[in-house]
Amino acid sequence: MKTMTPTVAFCRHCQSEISSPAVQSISRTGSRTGPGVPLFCCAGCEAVHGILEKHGLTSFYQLRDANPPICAVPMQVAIEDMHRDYRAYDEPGFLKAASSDGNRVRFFLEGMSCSACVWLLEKLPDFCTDVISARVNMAASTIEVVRRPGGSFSFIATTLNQLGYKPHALKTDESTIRLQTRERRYDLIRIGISAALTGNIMIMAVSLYGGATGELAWLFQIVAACLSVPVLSYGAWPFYRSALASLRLRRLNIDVPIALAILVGVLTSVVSLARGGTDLYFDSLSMLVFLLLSSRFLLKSIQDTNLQATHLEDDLLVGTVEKEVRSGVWAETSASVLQIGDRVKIQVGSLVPIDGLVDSGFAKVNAAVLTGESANLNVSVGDVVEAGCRYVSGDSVLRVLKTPRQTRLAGILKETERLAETKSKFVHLSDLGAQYFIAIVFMLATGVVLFFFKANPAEGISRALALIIVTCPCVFGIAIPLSMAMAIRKAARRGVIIKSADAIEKLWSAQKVFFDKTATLTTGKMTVVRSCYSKQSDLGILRGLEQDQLHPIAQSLTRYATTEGAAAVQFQSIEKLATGGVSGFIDGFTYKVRPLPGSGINANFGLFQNERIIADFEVGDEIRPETFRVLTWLRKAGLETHILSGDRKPIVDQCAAKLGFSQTETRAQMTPEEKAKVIIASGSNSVMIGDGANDASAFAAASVGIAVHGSLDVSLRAADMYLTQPNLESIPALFQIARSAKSAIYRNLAFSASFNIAAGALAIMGEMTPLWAAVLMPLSSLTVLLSALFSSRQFQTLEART
Amino acid sequence: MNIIVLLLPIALTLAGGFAFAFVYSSARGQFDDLETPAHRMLLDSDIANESLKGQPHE
Repeated sequence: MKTMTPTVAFCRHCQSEISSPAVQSISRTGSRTGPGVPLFCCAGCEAVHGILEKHGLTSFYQLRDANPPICAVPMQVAIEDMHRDYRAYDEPGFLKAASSDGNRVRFFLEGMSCSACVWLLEKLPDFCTDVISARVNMAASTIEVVRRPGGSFSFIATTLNQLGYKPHALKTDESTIRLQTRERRYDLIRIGISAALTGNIMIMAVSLYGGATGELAWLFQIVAACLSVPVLSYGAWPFYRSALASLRLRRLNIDVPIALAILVGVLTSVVSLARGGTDLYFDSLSMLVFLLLSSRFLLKSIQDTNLQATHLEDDLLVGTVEKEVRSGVWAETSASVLQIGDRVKIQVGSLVPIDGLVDSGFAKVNAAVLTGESANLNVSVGDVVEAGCRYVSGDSVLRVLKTPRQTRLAGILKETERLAETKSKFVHLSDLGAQYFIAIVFMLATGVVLFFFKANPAEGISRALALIIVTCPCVFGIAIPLSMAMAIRKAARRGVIIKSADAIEKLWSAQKVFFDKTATLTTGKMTVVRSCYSKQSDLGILRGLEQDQLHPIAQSLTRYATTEGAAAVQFQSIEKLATGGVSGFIDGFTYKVRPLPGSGINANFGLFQNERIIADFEVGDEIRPETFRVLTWLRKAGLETHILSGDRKPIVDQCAAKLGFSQTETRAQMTPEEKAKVIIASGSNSVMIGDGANDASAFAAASVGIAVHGSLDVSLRAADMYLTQPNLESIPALFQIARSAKSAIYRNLAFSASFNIAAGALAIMGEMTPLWAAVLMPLSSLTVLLSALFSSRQFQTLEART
Repeated sequence: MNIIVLLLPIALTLAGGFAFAFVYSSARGQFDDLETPAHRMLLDSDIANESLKGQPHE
């Protein structure tokens, strides 16, 4: 038994707490260090720190520490992730898809959080020789990199990855991007012009309401009318267009009552002006158009996240392999040009891009991405390796059975796209509201006209028109987009990127939450879950033997020894054993680490000294530390939780038992196709949380798909939301944010309803004048606007307390 | 009244001038990215230069 007092210390790089029993600097030389020397939580963080130090970029830390409240995103880098293979980025096919001129590529980066990141990333040309210029766009979380002629994008991507910003190349469909930029600029111009004119119209309106008479009043009326022409035509154009489109589809949307109110208002005012009357609504209508345009723009610019399906490069169907060109001669080639029957070698650590038959040798592969199975599979001559498996170790030669476009994986991707396209059309709250709204207002207006039909038809019509104008549904047009925009922004701050406001509305009615197991509920990385050793020096031997091995289990053993504070023993030479494992010689002893035969769920490894076992370790996929807390929260919040895993039943059952899932809530050995089926069968209010390619179809089938940190590009494309932090902590926050947005919106609906009832009553009684409209309409808009803003502040303080 | 006839065009010209300036700068992409320049501006001055001390200036 070991008894050590826990010391609290923080990682120099990612600032996470180091809670291992003995805190020491874990520099690779193994030297113990005193105070003042940086401490690290893991080898990944240490490596990034090393890179920064080497290039004299350590002021990154000064910058970051200067804004702690903004930069709360942990930047932990797992050492396994640092060896990700980006060679596909050097292929001509990639350059064609991702670059307009062959030298300029945009990457979506994970983990960018504050000015320190901007500073570091824009310094890229200083320490990555292949880069000429780097330009960051923080709002979109992208970087545009220009390479020097002949530079390698795989090298650039690897550098970015090693710094802890996992890059995803974005397709540059030049025309789409140009179109989007132009649309954004046009929207801004529309808002600017509407604002300038509305401001000036207001000056006229105030003096008119203030009692201007005679020639002056006439002049001001004419000028105000002229100024409102561009606002109510050019400015309000998007509403007319959208209303028209929705009428053509015979589906009322929110723009129909808005466009109608504007048109009726303009007509009434023009007729009144021609007759020398005073029923002029130009000012109120212009103000309305300006407010509507602004709140829509806000929501639109926040929703534009670059992660839309059409923008992300597909990383699964490409890759580089070694192909036998003549007998015994191997050359690197792109997987996309492979033919059936080719003999290929796959690089250790990369994804297998083809379905292949093992021709010679043996290998270990991991199918977690494809099936969710966490354990490695041993394959030998005659076995088939499916595309999407990660090649863990071995020296086998594969014969191509199916090219990248023909594999089951490619089929899953196609199915995912099909499901995403046919995702049931969703009726927005605002559109639903608009339908009731129109029905009520028109019934009232007809009632008013009929009531006055005999006595005074003109008066009846004027009252009905006033009713339609003043009850314009600004809550749907202004408060809903605004509340949604606030929620998306808040979620982004908590580490969730939300692709569209629809997903928030869908979260309100969520009833079932489905979790993938591997890499979602668990870390997806091999970890030592049980150990048995007598001396600290045994761990030093273990670390010395394993620290330079790339195998995930070797890395997990190294990580364990390091966090336990063991200094590596320096071996002269280390040999790999043919049966798996390594051996080394020092001080007259031969030490070996090799697998132990076992029947358990997890793999066991023993440390041998001259063939005598001195320590043993059990390695498995560990459950994330926060998983249980998150699940408890969700269950308390009234949600049903389920496991939907592709892993083997005993492993899933063990995990389910630990996390309190009942038998009926646990499904194991699911294929990707079955996952999607279960979700479709479970009804429309399901949320899927997962990571792998095997979850992509499920994301598309679920009403909300949430991809966890480190997901594949294909999952990012299919999901509606994406976690930017490597944990599940943000999921409860996400539900809270969605629910608080809902209550804010309903409160605003109540506000707006009371305003509209008051204004409607005035109009029906014939008391409605343009002055009343000018006071009531902006007041109603302003109330809902402030209420939407205020609700967020209340929420933040509530969060700070808990 | 006469003064209004003079002031009104002046006010409108002023407003028009600002509106034009806004349209011009939007069309040239001044407002495409509203977040990053704010950070970049902070960096170019103090700490960033400090870290380059001792290195030859480009």
